[in-house]
Amino acid sequence: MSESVISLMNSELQVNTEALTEFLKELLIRQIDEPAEKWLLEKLAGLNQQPQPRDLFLMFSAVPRFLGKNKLNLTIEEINRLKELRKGLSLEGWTVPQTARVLTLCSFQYKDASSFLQLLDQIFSIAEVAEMVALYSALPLLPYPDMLKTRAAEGIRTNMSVVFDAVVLNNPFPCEYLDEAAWNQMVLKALFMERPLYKIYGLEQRSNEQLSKMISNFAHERWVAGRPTSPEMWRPIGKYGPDSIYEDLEKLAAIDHPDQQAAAILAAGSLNTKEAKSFLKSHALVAAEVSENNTTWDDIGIRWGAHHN
Amino acid sequence: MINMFIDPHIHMTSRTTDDYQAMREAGIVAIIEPAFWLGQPRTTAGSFQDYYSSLVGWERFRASQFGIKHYCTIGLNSKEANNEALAEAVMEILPLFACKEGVVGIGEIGFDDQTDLEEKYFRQQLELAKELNLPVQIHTPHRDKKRGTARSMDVILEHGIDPGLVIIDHNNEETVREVLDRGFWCAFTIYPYTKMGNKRMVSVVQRFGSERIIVDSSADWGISDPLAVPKTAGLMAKSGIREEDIRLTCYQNALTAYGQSGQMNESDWSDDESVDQRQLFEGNSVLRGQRPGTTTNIIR
Repeated sequence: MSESVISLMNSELQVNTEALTEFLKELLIRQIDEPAEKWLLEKLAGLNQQPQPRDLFLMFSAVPRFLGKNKLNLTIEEINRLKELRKGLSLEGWTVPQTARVLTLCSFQYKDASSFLQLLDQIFSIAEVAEMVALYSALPLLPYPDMLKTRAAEGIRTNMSVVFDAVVLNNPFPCEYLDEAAWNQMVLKALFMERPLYKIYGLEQRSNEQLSKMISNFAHERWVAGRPTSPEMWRPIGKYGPDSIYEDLEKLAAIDHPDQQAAAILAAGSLNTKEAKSFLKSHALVAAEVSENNTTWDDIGIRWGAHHN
Repeated sequence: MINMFIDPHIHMTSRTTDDYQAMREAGIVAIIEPAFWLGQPRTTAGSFQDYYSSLVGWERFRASQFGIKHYCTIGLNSKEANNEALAEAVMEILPLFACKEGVVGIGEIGFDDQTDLEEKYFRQQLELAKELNLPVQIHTPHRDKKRGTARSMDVILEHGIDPGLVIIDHNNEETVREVLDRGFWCAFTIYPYTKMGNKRMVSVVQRFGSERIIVDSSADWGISDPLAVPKTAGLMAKSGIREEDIRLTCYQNALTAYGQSGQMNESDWSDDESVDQRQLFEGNSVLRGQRPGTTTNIIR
């Protein structure tokens, strides 16, 4: 996807920060006790009175001491409301202190873009693991998103899987803002680190020729080493198939595993070429099964994750 | 037989993944990594900042991949306190790290050469610990140890700090009596050549019992043994020391002392074992595709 297409896409993005901040606050208040609520509201109010950066740093660190470390729970209504407020964002696996930290970052009144970036860089530079997770999961909610692209790419370079997940999974930011090279690196690294691809937002939307080549090459590397490949890995190729793809799909269809075979069918379906159609014809039996069972890429990903992670 | 250990003083930054694996197999469930010097003096505050960041970040993550809970103490060590300009800059950033998750105290601080500058920053850090109500981990000097240990305790009490919040480390037969009598926690480092050997440790427990006595390895970049705690426990058992005394000196006392920070609870490792193991090893990067061999025999 060209840069101009991405920016066109971004201009359609209207993030209602105020409504989201309010949503997170209500979500938190519903699941913390009274002293914790009092502490949080006081601190948030203090953010409007031009606090020193150091006050922000200390509050950011102190959150779990006052709010605990529980997991965040969402009702069905809240999940649906979030979908309206911020497409692609899921709070699955978020914790109470993580949410409070994100809320803190969203509530701070930044003077301008450069002071925002400076402050954020400082918080990042002294962050521990859980703080890093909170910081990266805040990306789709923060102001000046165009300035956060390099930060997101930096997060993807991490070797801490929990931090990687915070940038990559259930997070719309990469799809919306990463350039093609960074996006492709991210998908490849997710595969390499055995992360669940179905939790990456915008996989089909961001498919591209380069990525399809990289995926096909990666499969060859794994096969030659005698290592298994995830059936999910073929999902991001979308309509872009390098010449080698049909040979790959034949190999996939020959693996004695229903989801590997189903992946070959789904991949061929998205390629939508003459060769792909003849592939589907020659594997009509499996194709019929896939359509009968209504097998989706998500199903394949969930099943693979349950067995391999 | 006791099968869960805590090593409350070990510098994992200098150790390998083989060590982590061996430690886990030997039953070590949690460790505390004190901030110390790296064998070579640092020249900028930025080096300290990155070091502290790695203690609360990368190293903590690395340990978790082997099923070990990693905690740390944050402080400016006495050796590097002698560079005044640097020490001033480091004191600026210390408070930013002292309240991070997993930080169980200020340490390791105290005396090395027993200079005026060492005393100055020792006192400043005691005040920080007092303000944050955090335990303090004290490094006692290799040279002139007995006097240095007594002087450390004098300074601490001068600042009105409860000795029950202070762990005096690297003790020997010469210092143990005074440290215990004055109400401090008394830690012993099992470290070949320069500190205690484990036979001597057995005699100390036989003589002084297990109240407020703690065993650690202080394993680092020198010739040292990351399995010193479980090995000493084994020798204690062979020597007929009561199981309860082994449990206290090689596990519980460290937990009680540093648990006062509110950052270290037994439930951190006992509750979420099965869940954590799955999380830890999935998509791991240190192990890079290998699966650790000992996910089920953690408590043996």
